[in-house]
Amino acid sequence: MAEAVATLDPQASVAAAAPRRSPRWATLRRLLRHRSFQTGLVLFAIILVAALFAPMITPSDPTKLAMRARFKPPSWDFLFGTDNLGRSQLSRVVYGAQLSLMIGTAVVVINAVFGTLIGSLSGYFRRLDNMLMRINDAIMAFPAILLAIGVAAVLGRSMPNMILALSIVYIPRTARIVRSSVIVIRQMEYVQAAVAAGAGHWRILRRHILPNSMAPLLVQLSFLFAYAVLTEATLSFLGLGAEPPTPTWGNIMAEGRQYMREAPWIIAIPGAALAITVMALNLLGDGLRDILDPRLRIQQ
Amino acid sequence: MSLLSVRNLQVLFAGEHGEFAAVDDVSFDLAPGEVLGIVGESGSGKSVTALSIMGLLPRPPARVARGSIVFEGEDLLRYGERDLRRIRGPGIGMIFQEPMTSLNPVFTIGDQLMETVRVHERAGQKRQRDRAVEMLDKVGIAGAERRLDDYPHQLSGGMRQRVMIAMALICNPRLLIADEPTTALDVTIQQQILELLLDLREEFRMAIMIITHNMGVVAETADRVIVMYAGRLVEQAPVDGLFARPAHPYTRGLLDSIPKLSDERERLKTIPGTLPNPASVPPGCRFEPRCAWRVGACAAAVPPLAAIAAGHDSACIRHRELPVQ
Amino acid sequence: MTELLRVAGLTKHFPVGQGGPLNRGKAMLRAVDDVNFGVGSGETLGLVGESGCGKSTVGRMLLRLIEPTTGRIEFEGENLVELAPEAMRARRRHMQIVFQDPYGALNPRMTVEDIIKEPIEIHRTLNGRDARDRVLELLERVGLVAEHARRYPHEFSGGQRQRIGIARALALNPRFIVCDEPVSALDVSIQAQIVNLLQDLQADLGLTYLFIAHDLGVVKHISDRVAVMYLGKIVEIGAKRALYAEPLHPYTQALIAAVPEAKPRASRRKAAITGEIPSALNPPKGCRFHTRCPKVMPVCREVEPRTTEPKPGHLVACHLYPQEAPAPTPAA
Repeated sequence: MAEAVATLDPQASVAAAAPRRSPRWATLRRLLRHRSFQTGLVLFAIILVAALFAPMITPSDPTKLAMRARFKPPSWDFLFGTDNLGRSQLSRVVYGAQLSLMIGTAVVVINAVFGTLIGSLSGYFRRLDNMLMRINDAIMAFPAILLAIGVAAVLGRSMPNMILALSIVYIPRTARIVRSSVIVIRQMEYVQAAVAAGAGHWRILRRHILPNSMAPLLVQLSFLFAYAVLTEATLSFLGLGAEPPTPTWGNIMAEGRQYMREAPWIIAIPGAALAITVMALNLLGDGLRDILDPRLRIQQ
Repeated sequence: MSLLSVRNLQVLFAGEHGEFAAVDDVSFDLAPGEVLGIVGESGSGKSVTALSIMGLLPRPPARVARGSIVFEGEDLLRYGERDLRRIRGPGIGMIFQEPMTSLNPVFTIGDQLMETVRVHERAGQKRQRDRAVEMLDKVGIAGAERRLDDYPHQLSGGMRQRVMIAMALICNPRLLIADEPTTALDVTIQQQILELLLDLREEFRMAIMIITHNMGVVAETADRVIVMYAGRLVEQAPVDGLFARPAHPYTRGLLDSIPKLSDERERLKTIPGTLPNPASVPPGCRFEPRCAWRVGACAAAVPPLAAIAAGHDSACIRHRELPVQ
Repeated sequence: MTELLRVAGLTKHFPVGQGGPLNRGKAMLRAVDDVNFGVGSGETLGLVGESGCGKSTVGRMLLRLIEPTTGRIEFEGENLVELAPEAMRARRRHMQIVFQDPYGALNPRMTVEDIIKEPIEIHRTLNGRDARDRVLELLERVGLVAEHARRYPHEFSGGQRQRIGIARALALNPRFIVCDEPVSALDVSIQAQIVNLLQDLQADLGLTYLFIAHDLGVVKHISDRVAVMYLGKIVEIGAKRALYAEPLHPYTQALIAAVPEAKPRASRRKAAITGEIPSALNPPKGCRFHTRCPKVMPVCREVEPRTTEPKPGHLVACHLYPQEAPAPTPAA
């Protein structure tokens, strides 16, 4: 069997045909050819562009009231309709996207930093492992959403608090993933070779262990982005997110819930935006996992 | 009449740069009761050949593009999955290199042996159990009755390979394909397993196809040998003829590069270079770039198999010129 | 010949049992138990044995990649076991290792140049251009070419990767190299190339090798002396010719007899030893080989044999040989 796998190894054939190509570049090329990664990338790019250029593409300020134009269904005048106070749904959903992506990005960055830090310390210095992982386990013992609600309730309603709450919930999960891949990489013979060459801990972590443990983290972060967006919307919907009239998707949906019968678009449109964002991120994550996870790669 | 007859087998694999032939135009026969050794290094196509016979090629990326595999008069390549399942077990059994991953860790070995009996014959619980004990006994596992309730992880590597052999033989196959059966085992255990295989061949009157990279294993077990290189069959011969007068430069190179216990050489002879990339094999003889005997004609056309003695063929156009060793 | 390395009473016991704080240290895996040997300057000592005999653990302990439980490792007269981590790191310049797995031994995200240059950077032996020139020189030394320097490991075959690993080991001009099964994962036709390369390097650079392998043919070819390990102990050690021609220990005899020779029907004979290797968690009392030994005597089950020297330079730990005169323990 080993022989069959060796012949199948896609990298083996790359070798002769295209010399001097860094593995990173080859991976990127394969990612861009992956069907679900492509779809996710396009969807996410659309949402991202909308959020980035919100002031240019929205017809009006998202908080501007227009009492004469309440409950307008989607039409050419109001592409996504208006809400109970006559605010443009298009503006509100697009600005909502801005907030969701900001929170998602912040949570992902904080997780990447602290998850990597805790995970790699825990996985590399086994003496710290027990302590760090018990704290991790304690946090992970709470259901994510309940913990987020608790933290948000204690800290009060604001954007930074929301980011903090989501980070506290998700960092232990990220740290676990980093830790497990660090433990695997630490055993690799190239790490042993670096030790034998006299390398110190910092050098080994930076040059050998971290660059090779990033694949699962990257996959995790793309899913984490989706969870963060989803959890933020849930908390806002429950009234624990940013204060109205801040147009977060959760806030819009919470308000729209009362008018579900008469004006279903109020809740449906941010709902759809949320669903599309989460789906786009999941597709990206699937693509990353397929390409970066070596176990799946061999089977392809 | 031969038990198995492979003709012009070509197996293609989809790669990043189009399809390449992992096995190309390979033909050979296997007589009932014969032990055939297939030797080659990685990428030689020896395992792919075995998997094609069993209908176990991963599809995709592999596909059989040409050829026939006739087992007891029936072309297995025309068989569907249902018919193949009927052949696997009572017709052809197979054991693999890695006895650790070939057994399911969550079932006892008794369960797995009895399951195999159940798939192929109607037999009561009692009879299944008796068969399992009988087989474990035959493969040299002491206290077979007690061992039935062991899980694979409780056995050593050699023991697991014995259990795999018991599973492969429980339906009395006419052909056993052993793919690197001793590569993962220690040398003292390897000797025991090879001996067991030869004993069981007598007892079960089956043919064995033993696939290995180890010339020593072939020398000690096979009646006849096929040497493969980069997907092609380069030489086939009765075992004595092959070792007495290897008629292909690759076979010679392989034999010369093994450090033997009996020799006192200062330096090993080597085959220069590396295996060709499967996606861009040389157009003529695939060994030509590494061959000390190459001439212009070698790169021009694929050398045909030429008979040099009874049952001894070589795919080298200069086989006559190779010095007698 | 002066001794470069002397190992005395080297022992490694791994605690096993699932890591929790409450059930630690229940059982001890006695991977290496009281191992003694010396390696002369410029010679190759082969270390053979079957899987789990502890030969790799010995190799890694010499460089303190695994910390010994007890024992002395004297390298050029200095006991490495007592060195502080910083001092040990400096000594690593002189002792290097080549690994078995050519796929796992090279960081896939570094270019060949960076891989070979790393030891030079760590010890700051050369800078800038000089370091790069040294890399190119090393590449050439191991049979690769300058243009390989900018490529990544996945672009190479197994044999070429092993050459890169050897170049890395040579980067600091070490005196001693542990070769941990360096050819076991390679194809037969490539094995010979690497074995020849290692021999050439030894001749040119005056290297000393500990060559660990399970293939008795390869070990015989490359070694000057050979040590045979079984279940954490060295059972026999002697000059290559003597050991292969007249093995003293029944285990060595069985091991040599079990090698399939590339001569048809030369030896279709009955297996010399039966049974499986016992677990190192619970090694047999007395002589550890007694459960499989064809020449077992009652005393073997009770008393652990001492290492004796029946012939000059040929040591064995077996009750078949007179036990009175213990082998002269070389001065520490």
